[in-house]
Formats: sequence, structure tokens, C-alpha cells
Amino acid sequence: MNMTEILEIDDVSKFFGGLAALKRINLRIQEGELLSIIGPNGSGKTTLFNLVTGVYKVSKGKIHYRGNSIQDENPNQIAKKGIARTFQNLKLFRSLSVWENVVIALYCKGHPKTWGYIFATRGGVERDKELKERSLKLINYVGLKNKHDELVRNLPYGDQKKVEIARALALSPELILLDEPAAGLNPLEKSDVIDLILNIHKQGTTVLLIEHDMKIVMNISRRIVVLNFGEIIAEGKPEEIRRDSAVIEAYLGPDIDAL
Amino acid sequence: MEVFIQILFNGLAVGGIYALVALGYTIVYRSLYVINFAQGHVFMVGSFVGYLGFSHLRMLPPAVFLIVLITSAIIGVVSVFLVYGRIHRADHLSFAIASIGVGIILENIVRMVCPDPKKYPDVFGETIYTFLGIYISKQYIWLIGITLLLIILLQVFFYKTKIGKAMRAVSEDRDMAGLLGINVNSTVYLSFAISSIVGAIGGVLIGPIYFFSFDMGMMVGLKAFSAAILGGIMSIQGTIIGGFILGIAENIGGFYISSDYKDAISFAVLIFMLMFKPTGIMGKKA
Amino acid sequence: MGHYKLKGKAIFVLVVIVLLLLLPLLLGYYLLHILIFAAINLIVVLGLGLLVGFSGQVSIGHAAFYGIGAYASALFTMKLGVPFWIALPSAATIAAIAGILLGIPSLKVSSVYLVMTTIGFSLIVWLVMVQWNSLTNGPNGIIGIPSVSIGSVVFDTPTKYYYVVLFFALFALWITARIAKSPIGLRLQAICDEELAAKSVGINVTYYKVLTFAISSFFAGVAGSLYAHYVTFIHPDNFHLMTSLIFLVMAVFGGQRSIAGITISTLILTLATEYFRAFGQFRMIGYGLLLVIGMIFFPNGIGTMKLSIIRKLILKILPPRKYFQSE
Repeated sequence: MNMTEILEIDDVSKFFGGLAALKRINLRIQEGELLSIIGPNGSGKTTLFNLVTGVYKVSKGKIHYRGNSIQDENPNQIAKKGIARTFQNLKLFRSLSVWENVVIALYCKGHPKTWGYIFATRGGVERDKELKERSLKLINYVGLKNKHDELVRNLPYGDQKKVEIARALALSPELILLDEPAAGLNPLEKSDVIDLILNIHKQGTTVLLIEHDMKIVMNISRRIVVLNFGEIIAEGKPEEIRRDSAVIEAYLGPDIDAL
Repeated sequence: MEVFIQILFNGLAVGGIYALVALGYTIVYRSLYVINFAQGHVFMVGSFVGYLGFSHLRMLPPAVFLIVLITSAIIGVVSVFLVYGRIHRADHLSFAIASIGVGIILENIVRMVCPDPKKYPDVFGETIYTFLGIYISKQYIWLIGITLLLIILLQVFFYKTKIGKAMRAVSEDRDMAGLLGINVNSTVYLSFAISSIVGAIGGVLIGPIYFFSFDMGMMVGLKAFSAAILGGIMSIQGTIIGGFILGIAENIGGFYISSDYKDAISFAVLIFMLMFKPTGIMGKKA
Repeated sequence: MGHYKLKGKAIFVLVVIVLLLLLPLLLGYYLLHILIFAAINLIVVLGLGLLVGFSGQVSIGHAAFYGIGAYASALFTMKLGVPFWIALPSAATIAAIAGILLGIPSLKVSSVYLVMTTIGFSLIVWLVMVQWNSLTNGPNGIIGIPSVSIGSVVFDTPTKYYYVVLFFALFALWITARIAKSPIGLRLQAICDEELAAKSVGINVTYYKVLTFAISSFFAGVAGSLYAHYVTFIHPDNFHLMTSLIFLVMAVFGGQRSIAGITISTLILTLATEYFRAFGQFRMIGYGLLLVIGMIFFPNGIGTMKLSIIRKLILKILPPRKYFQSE
């Protein structure tokens, strides 16, 4: 095993009843890379994310993270290991504010002194303050300064997407899975998100990206994997993918202009 | 052996009544994805009206059933008009509590009028037949007969008539958000009317073999609900089967295990099912 | 500005507490009696509020934990000669264990099905109370439960017991408020909003859901013990489904996540229950009407009543806090 490999997906398949959502996926993710996963709707991209994060269990195959097998773990165990994700259809905690959404994720590795806080010991209260300040830093980082007290459901869509990214970052992840982070955003918001992703990547975090916007994918990815009907039909650098006939065939339609 | 068959038979009879009351839950649940906690109390009201009809007004069975049918249908429709249709938040909890309130009101109105348990007069005659060593009173024959007739009628309604099919189709399609208060249409009224009717007629049928009491609504309501869960609250046929199974299980358990804990059997069944297969025996997705 | 707000809040709380301490001098026995019940109910409902409002698990079975607390405390003091101050936490712990026993299977079921499981549990506990004669004295109940005593002081009058109950109720209020703002409170709300996302940020949902059951049933156990040593006579019908229902209604009316709302609604509904008692049959009809009207006009509970005078008053003095809103 290559020492810089962070995630190994070995011969993974996922069936729902008789339907094969993913068939014999083999993928090795290098530490620190920025890999995009593209493919038509229903090709299994989000399913792959769900398998890696423990939301689904593999029907066949194995997944290893830093050499340890994770395909049987629960989502919360996987989060603790340093794998974070965002969701295609936003799953923010709607009754909470921005900083509360983020600080909850900070609790994962931040060791809040919960019972200390409840019984108002000094240690508990101080730790709580400390964690709140860290959440504010993250909120600034994604560009939502001064909005930390807003209820997330009152924010515009673009800002909500940023909150979800901040929340994922709060886990101090080594690997972050972003599921269509630019979907539904206007060009200005998209550019913000792209900068954010590039920053995250620059700091050494491994990024797995699902995106439909081909301009983004082609511009920022080092490597692209193409899924269709649950199988990998192509893999390689952006220029190679651009010219791949199987990919072009799968993508008949408006996106072909972006290629 | 005869004892066993006797118990089985009694269980079948009671089970049929559970099935009828349970269908009330199913029909409303399929329609709106809410639990109508007043169902047991509607059953009790039906029993009360039946008692009045047989005992005080000395009416004949067909007339009594007709009166019970009309009364219960009115109760169902009025409940929607006054209460359920006005719950704007449209969530399960609000509806549940409101239906509990309706049930409490029904129970206590009847309680004010008739606080003591009452025995039904011998409606169908006192003849007891012997068959294969077991005793079958004429009451039971009529009870089972009417129950089966109703079940068949309901099957026909839901599977063969246009309205019935439409009601079934709607429940397959409806958004889980619960649209009470926003979309109270004729389907909703119809669902509640039918569900009240079957519950109330169940009440009339149990009168002759047990008795009527203002407080029997809660227990029977819970047991019937257990039956619906057992069979699958989304499935009409499942609910019917669940009712029969529960009636038989209760009687068998009550006799062979302990009569004191007889009621606990229904609840144990309920908890068991909820833990392992909440969609019921005939339920589809888990 | 922040310092000013804090001072204002502290003064308000102080004033309220002083008033509460002086209340027995102002009210007659009957009202005091009702207040004691209100305080006992409040303890249960606060715990239930955490369960229903924060973790989103609806229970119509809390009378079972209340009853377990009551019976356990009575038996500890009467059969084992344990003093009240040990009996209460012990009884509450037993109630908490029962809560865990109910909490674990409850994980597998959701919403409506959960409700029915809790109802079933409540009924089974009730049946055990009625049938297990050797332990619980069956339907006759337990009489002669000793009153609370510290040293030579015996708390056997409403006035004296009021202070006992007040102490526990205020403590429960404080703890619940702290829990609501703590990591536990936030995580519970997260689980309620988006369980999958909660898992994805490292929250062990199983642990928290069961923990909430344990906490809420602990509270109910405490309340049950306080109840038993006040009324000195308990029997199974005190802990039937209706009682569970009343607790739930108080929690829902309060607005679930609103501690102020819960307090007010518990007060009002306890008063109503006792007041209606005078009307006999009408009492329950009144209660049913209250439920129905409440659900039609206050579906979110009174904790969010923007037009409420009381709420405006509170908001004027206190800084608006997140957990005053129910969503």
C-alpha cells in the first residue's frame, strides 16, 4: 500500500434490493489530492459518499481509511476519525443559529466539559466559551462574519451552504467530502465557494468533490473520476477526461459544451 | 380439546370486533397519517346508543344499527368540522392531543348521562347451540355474521367502488407532511365518517356478549390499535387479520397463562411488534 | 450593555425567588396545596420537555416513572427504614433505570409508533402495580408513608412541604435551563432536526436518546417521591394513562422547548385540573375542551405566543434568549 494513500475503496458494490447502485468500484485516494467525482444523475456519486461515511453499509467490498477498515462503522464513529461531509440537499440544524451549528461539530473533537458546564463549574464554562470562539473563527473563515447569531433558516441559500462547509471543517477533517457545494448558487456565491474549496485544499485537507458544474470541475480538480450507472467509466486528469469518448457519450447534452 | 376450541371461537368473535374498531384507525391513518385517539370512545358511544335503542326504545336490530350508523357518522363529520379541520399546525402531535381531547369529551358526556355499566337485553334470543362439543349462543352467531358482512362490505367498497379506490389511491400518493387544515376535503370527511361507523357498530356488537360501560373506550381503543399495528396499519386486510389474531391470542393467553394479566398481552404484542416490525405482518416497507 | 442585561436578569430572578419564599404568608392552605402539586408536576414536565421538545421523542408513559419513583421511595422509607434524603435519589435512580429500559427499544421505532410503545410500557407498569400484591399492596395502595424529616423538623403541613418542593422545583428549573444550553441540549436539538447530519458530526445518537430518557425519568422519579411523601397514600390509579397524558399536555402547551412556557402552562393546567375537580363530571369535559381549543389556537404552545402580555413583560426585563423560542 502506498504510504500516501488515505482512502482505499476496494471492489465495493452496493445493492438496493435487486438494483445495483454501485458495481465493483475501485478507487484509491491520495492524501492531499483534490478529486472530483462526476457523472449523470443517479450514477451513484452520493451513494459512494454515503458508503464512505457509514450511512450505508457496503453490499460487497471493503473500505479502508489510513489502513483501518471502516466499512462497518457508524457515521458518528467515522466523523470522529476525521472524515467530514456536506450534503447535496443541505442538512443544517434548522432550529439552531449559525454558530450553534458549527460548535456542535466542534464538540466532536473539542472535548467540551458537558457536566461541568451544566453544574456551572469554572472549567466547564470556560471550555464552552473557548469552543464558541473557535466556532466564530470558522464562521469568519467561510465568509459569514457577523452572521453567527442568525438562525440558519433565515439565511439565504448561498450562506447556508457556507455554514454547512464551516460545520464540516469544525471536525478538523483530514478528508472532506463535498456533495455539490456549488449547486443552486449564483456566480458570485459560486466563486466564493470555489475559493473556499481551494483554501481548504491548500491547507492540506484531502478533498473529494461531487459537482455538476463542469467549469468548476475542470478548473480545480487534479484528478477526475467519472461514474455512470454505478460504474467507473473513466479516470484521469481533466484534459484526458475531456477527450474520453466514453465520457462524452455518457454526457450527451448541454454539459458537452463545458467540456 | 373442546375447551381450546371454545376459547378459539370466543377469541374469533371478540377479534372480529377488534378488527372493526381497528379498521377505523387504519382508514384515518391511510388518509392523513395521524392516529385518531378518539376511535375507542366512538366505539363506546356506539355501544351506548345501541343500548339505548335496544333497552329503552325497544327497537329492532336493523333500526338500531341504522341509528348507530347515522349517529356515528355525524360524530365523525362534526369532529372534523369543529376540531380536526381547524388544526393548522397539521402535525401528528397536535392532532393526537386534539383527538384525545375529543375522546375525553365523548367519554364524559356519556358518563354524565349513564355512569353505571349496563347489560344489553338479549337481543338475538337466548338459544345456545351445541356444535362439535362447544357452546355457541345465537348472539355469537349474529355477531360473527354481522362482523363478516361488514368486513366484506368494506372490502367491496375499497377495492371495487370508484370512491373506495380513489381513497386508497390518495393515501399512496399523499405527502407525509399531513395536510389537515389546508386541504380538508370530502375524502377526509368520508374517512372519518366510515371510521366512526365501523367503530360504533363494533360497540353495538360487543354489547350482547359483554356489556356497556362509559369507560370501555380507552381499553378497547388501545387493543384495537394494537391489532392495527399487528396487522399493519397501512393495510386494510392486515388490520382485519390483526384484529382476529389479537382476539384469539388474548383469549388463549388469558386462559392458559393468567387472566389477571390478560390485558397485558395486547400491550406486550404491541411493544413486540413495534420493536421488530412496526409496519405489521402485512406491512410493506420497514 | 451586556453587563446591564445580566444585572437586570439577576435582579429579576432574585425578586421572583423572594416572592416565592414569601408566598405561604400570602396564600391560604388550599392554594398552597395546589402550588405544591404544580411544583411537583413541573419537575416531571421539565424532564418531559427535554425528551419531547429537545430530543423529539414523544412519551405518553411518564406516569410510569412518576409512579415508580413514588412506590420506590415509599417502600425504601417504610420497609427498609431509609431516610428520605437517601430514598429520594435512590427511587429516582430506579426510575432512571426504567427509563433506560424503555429508551433502548424506543430507538427502533419512530414518532407515532414510539408513542404507542410508551403507552404500552405505562400500562404494563400500571398492571404490575396492581397485580404485584406482595410488593405494592395491589389496588389498595400504600398508606402511612412517612413525611419528610430533617433531624427533628417534620415537614407534614402544606406550608412546610411547600419549601421542600420549592427547593427541588427551582433546582430542576436551573438544571434544565443549563442542560438546554449545554452541549447535551444542542446535540438533542440537532438530533431532532436532522438525525443523519447529527451523526455525521460525531454525535452518538443512540447514547443521547437513551440519556434523555434516563434524565427525564429521573426527574419524574424525583417528583414521584416528593408526591408520595406529601400525600402519604398512593395507589395505582394515581399513575394511570391519564396522568401521563396530563404531563404530556403540559409539556406541549408550554411550547416544548420553552422553559418559561412550560412553567406557565404547568401552573395553569394544574390550577385548571384542581379547579375543575369541583365540578365533578364537568371537570373532565372542561379538560377535553381545553385540549381541543388549545390545539386549535395554540398549536405551538404558549411559549411562542407573541401577543402574550406575560411574555412581553418577561422580554422587557430579560434579554431574549434562544431557548425561549420553541422552534
